[in-house]
Amino acid sequence: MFQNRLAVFGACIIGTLIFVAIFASYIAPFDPCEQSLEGGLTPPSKQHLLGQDGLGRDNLSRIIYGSRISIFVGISVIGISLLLGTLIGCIAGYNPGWIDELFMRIVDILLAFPGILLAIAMTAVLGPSLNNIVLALCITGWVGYARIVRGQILTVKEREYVVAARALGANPVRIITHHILPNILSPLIVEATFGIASVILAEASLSFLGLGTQPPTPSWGSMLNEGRQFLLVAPHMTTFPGLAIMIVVLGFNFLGDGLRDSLDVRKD
Amino acid sequence: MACIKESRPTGNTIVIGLESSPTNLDPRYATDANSYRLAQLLYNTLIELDSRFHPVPNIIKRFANPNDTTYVFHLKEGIQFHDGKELTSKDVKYTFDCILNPAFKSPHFGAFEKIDSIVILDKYTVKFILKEPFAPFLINLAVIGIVPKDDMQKSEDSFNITPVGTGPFKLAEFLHDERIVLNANADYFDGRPKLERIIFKIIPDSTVRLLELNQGNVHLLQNDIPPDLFPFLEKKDSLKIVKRPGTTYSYIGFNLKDAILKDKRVREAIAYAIDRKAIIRYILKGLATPASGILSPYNWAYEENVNVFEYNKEKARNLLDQAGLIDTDGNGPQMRFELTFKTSTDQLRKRIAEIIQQQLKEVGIKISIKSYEWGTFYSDIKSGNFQLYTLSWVGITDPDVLYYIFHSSSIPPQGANRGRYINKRVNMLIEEGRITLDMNRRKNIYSEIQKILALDIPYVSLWYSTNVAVMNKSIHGYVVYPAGDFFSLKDVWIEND
Repeated sequence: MFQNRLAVFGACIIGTLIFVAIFASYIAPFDPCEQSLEGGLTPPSKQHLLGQDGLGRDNLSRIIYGSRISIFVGISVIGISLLLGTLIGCIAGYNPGWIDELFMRIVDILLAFPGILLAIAMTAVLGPSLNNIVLALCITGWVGYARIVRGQILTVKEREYVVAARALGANPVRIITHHILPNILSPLIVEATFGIASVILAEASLSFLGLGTQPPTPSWGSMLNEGRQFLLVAPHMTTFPGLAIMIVVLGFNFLGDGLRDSLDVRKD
Repeated sequence: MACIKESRPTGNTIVIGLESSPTNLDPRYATDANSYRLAQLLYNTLIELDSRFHPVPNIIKRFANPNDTTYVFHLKEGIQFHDGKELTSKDVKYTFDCILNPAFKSPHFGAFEKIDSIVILDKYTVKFILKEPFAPFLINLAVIGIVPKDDMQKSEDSFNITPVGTGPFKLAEFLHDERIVLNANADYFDGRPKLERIIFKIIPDSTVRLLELNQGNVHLLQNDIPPDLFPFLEKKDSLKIVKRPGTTYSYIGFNLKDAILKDKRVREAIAYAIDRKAIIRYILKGLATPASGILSPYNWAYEENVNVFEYNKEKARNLLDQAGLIDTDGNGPQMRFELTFKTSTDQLRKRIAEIIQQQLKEVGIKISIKSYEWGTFYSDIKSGNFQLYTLSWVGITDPDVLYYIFHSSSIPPQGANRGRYINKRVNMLIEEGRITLDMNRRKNIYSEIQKILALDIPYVSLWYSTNVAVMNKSIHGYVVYPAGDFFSLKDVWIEND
């Protein structure tokens, strides 16, 4: 993977993002919620490198703190979806018959429904908040992983080493956790990397629609939304959060591409 | 933007940008501001309001009030509906009979339920007999345009989309959420309008509305313009801006059933902690004036000498201390208590909520902002599911609106006493105000009510919004009314300099 320049570049972007999110309180030059009404909509200056928003808050500090939201949503949604998807995929894949049928039809139903639309409907009903966004994105997020895991298990479970483990009396849980999962991890990692990029984008979209974080918590999507009405007089309010989303999503996609190339056994 | 070709209004047609489509052009059903404003161009009313909201004749020569419960209106002769038929007293009776007919389910029923009977005395004279004296009766008449009886009976169902009135303009096209086209009524009784045609274009997004204005596709915008964009508009040579103080009243409402907010000292502290002048100056760019109560200085019943809460953080802190809500760590992160502040998803309202959140934090009150889409927000407010919320009252004319907002019998769903405010003295005065016909006595009654409300603070008064119209320089004669009415469009003309 380290020979793939784009993947390394992606990893650097993600590393920087994680570093910025963790040390936001040390890096941000100002309190992201500190208002200075007289400085509203001021363009980038020496003091405020990315300008100020409508309430005179420092744009750079808000983007830095906003990275925490992106990382939190990205990791929590993918983490929960991965766990849930893997669990359901294992159960379905290892138990052919009605259990498999039941889970796979649920997967089909959820796949048939546009994920972002379901998330919009759910957050509109449950009320706008970060936790509800995570919940809404998890509801449809797990299905992709469940399909991959089930498919992989169907391929792997008749391999010799699995048959051998079964013959030696290993129980299904042990077989799955010790023999099957380690062998199907690669496609899951690749899928999860791309998934984080999609989730960050989905969070930004929901926050843009006012269904995400509540004020004054900064999130890139809500910053874009706030800046939208000032496009004519203060383009810096939309340009910088827009760039932040673009760079991070690009970073995860580069890394995903790199991982896919390096983990793909068929390549050799 | 410099490369964009600008176009001026031509052929005596102007295009006006609207934020939302009117919902119903039938004056018997119209309730939203845009429906009401367009209905003013399509219909005439018995009474209209002057600049201080006093009732004056519109399609009547005169009216008489022989006793406290009888009103006789003498119609002007020769007023024609858009279909050429003459307006007579049977049309007037029909219009109000419809509103009073429960089967019609008119939202204006409550405003006219005091009518006992309507009697046609002759072709041009109609008598209204009320069940009891009702002071707001005349002012309420100013909302209802007269519809033609014959046409209506034939096409009651489609009247909303093919309305026929007597107004200066007639409807040519109504495409919901897209555009409304009005053509001049050449036979208008008060003189033919100077414009040939008005096109109302529905453009929900404020930035797009401004770009359309800048490009010349729209020639006039009124209100709903983000204040921060005025510097951009002021630089445009092709545009002019007309401002006039308005009557739209913004406030913060309290839930008086709430364990914390039922203490008047807490409400006072919140009122003292909000720096309205800073918000008006920096966020509203001066396009508002601080408010002292629901009735604006334009209203004849406005009382100037009421208790006002000038920004004072120290006073706010002391009041909270007195209420036993001590800030244990002074300026530290610990807050005295937490309140939820509900608002719609409107960007400007959300920004204002964030400023109020910051200002209240400085006196030790933690505010959690919850912004909801309009339907959810409004339903929560009506059901009393809130602690603090912010909203505006639009189009307040008669002080009897206080009955709807603060009388204890007006708790939703009956009225709009959403904060559950109960004061027996206020109840009594409001009831007296509606049956007192003598204007001086009535003014005294409403003065006292306004003074009590300013002390009880069921609302924190924020400001009255300034009405602003931005238009192409070639448009002349447009008057910005306090309530944002479009009525002056009948006198507008286009003259390229």
